[in-house]
Amino acid sequence: MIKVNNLTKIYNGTSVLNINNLIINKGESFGLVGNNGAGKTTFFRLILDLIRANTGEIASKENNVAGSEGWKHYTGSYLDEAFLIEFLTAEEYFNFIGKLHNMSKGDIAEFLNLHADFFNDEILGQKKYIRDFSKGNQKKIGIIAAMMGNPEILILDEPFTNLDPSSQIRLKKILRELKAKYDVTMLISSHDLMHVTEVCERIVVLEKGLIVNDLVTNENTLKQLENYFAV
Amino acid sequence: MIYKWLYQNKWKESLRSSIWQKNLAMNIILGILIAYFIINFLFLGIFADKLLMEIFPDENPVNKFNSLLLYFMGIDLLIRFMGQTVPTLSIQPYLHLPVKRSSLMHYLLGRSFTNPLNYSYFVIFIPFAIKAVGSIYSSGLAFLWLFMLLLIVFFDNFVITYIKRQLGGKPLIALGFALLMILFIVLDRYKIFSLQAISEKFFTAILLHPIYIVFPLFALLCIYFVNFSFLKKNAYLENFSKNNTKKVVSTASISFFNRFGVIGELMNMEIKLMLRNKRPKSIIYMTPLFLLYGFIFYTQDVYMNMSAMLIFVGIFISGGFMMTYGNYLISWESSYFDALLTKSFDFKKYFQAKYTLLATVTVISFLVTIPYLFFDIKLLYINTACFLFNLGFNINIVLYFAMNNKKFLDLSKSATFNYQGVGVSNFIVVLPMMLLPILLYAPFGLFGVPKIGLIVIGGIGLIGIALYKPLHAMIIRRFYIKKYEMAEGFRQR
Repeated sequence: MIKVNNLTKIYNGTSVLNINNLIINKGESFGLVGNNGAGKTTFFRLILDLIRANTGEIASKENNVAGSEGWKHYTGSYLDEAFLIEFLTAEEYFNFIGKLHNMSKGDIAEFLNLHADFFNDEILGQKKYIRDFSKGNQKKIGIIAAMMGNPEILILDEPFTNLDPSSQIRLKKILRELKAKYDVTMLISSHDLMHVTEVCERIVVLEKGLIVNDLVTNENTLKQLENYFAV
Repeated sequence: MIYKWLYQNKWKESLRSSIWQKNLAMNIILGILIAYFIINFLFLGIFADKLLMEIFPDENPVNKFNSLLLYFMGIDLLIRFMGQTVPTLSIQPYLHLPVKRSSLMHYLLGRSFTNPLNYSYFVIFIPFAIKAVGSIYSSGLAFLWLFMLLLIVFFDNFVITYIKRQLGGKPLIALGFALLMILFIVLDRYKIFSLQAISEKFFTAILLHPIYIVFPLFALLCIYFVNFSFLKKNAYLENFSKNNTKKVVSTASISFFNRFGVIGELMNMEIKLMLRNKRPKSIIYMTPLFLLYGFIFYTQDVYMNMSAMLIFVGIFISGGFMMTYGNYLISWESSYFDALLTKSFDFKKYFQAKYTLLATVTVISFLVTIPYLFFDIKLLYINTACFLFNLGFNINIVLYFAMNNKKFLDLSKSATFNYQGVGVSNFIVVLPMMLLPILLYAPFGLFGVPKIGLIVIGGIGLIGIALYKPLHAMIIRRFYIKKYEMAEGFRQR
């Protein structure tokens, strides 16, 4: 599904990302962990063609993501607040994203209904602009908007941060359902080792831009990761 | 002791704030502009007494100056209302520290005393005081007079601080106040009610009976204390954020646009952006002023004979919005640029929507200013040619250079005196848009066939409109190259 080839990104003379070869298959739930500055967000930004690579390329369904727009139709993503249009209300934002994916009003309403639990009555019908929501609720809006339009690839950067405990558990349930029902390829980065081992079947550890570990998740993975990071 | 700390922090903050981080060229330009204004005001101050004596030959220039002081206060209040910032938020980090609340309040208010802008008027006042007040009254009284003006200036300062905290900065209030002042000026002109006489009596009285200085002093102390007690009562976090969470303005989408599918959707969003954010909203309020520009020029014969000037005005009248709003066309969306890049967007439609918006406003501006032909029929020809030039040529320049703006714009701050995102390129872009038509016209005007010059200008505009598709393709190609730099720039908030 996603093939990374000879990818490097250099800022101010320092290499912040250097991935020789990486293949993410369809339906894989791919977890990305690493300390700050490891290159997780840089990697996601490269996949989404938000920054230019110094060398190499990322191919989504055999097409280079830089220089093509087709992948945007089946890739949903949420990295940070720059993905939210802060002067819209939550409903207006969902409607806008929905229209971009050719969803009808009914489709959008049905979709939002599905996630009513996740919203917990705090998002819809609030008569507030997105910029006036709390950080956690803003994140919820962004995450759900990323899932609109039945994407085949879902990219989330640290989705569990800022969410309250119940929302974190609900999000894990939503992600597991997406994988089971729709075989969505998920790329998730997180600082929470426990969440990432619960949700992802494959975990890649980044350190200073290099892949230092590529594990298939089993009962021992959490222990392994904790040992690795217990410097 | 805590004051030293607070002021040091403030000094660091202003040193590190965005206006200094711009490149050297921008700072030099600003420096030159500021020096230009200072020199002008200095000359005004030095020659003010001569001027007043010429215009009002039988009146004591000092008394005449005093009579205008109430108007000065009115204009000062207006300027401050539009541009003066309310410095509440900066004490938030100190609220939880072991610092006395009253110290913080005094610091906040005391900041006005160190703000150089508050002393800018004295470039005019001091020379006048030395020359006129010193000679007609006495040098001692000259000092007193300057002290009185100091009290007045800071009185205005604190009045506005208080009003802005209570009422916010709604432009309608400023408009109302401005109309009120115009009313007073008219009443004065026709001798029905003279604010000037009151002003003259009041302020000259202080020169005649120095003890009266206690009145303005007392007024200043009062307004200071009013501000102080209000701040002390309300220095809680909930009050700070209260101003920000406004009720949702239900912007009924202009249903006319819904017919146009995605482009209509984008235009609706642009309109919401303009109406729901302070900075673009200020530009919208200023646009009608561009339309009135004509009154300044068309009423004076000097300008009516300078075709170059008329062309400049013509371009500005129909293209004013296009140039001020279009300058930052993409930067308005800097806070969610990443979203635009990752959602399934057809950027051709995106630019089409922007083009349609700019074009629509330009057309409306032109139609509204057609009545200028009643000044002189030739204005209709000039303005039409300029309008076509704007619509066919300049609009593409605006779109093309909009991509040079890579700085993040904070939309929640007002536009007056807001230099965030302003760079040298913004000034340079305006030059070809204004000068080119004049240059094109010049040879024809000099050879005595002005009408052909206008036809050339209008003709280029029409060609631009006809070549709309290929020109747009070029702009979009540039966008795809520039988008990475822009996204990178917008991410540095």
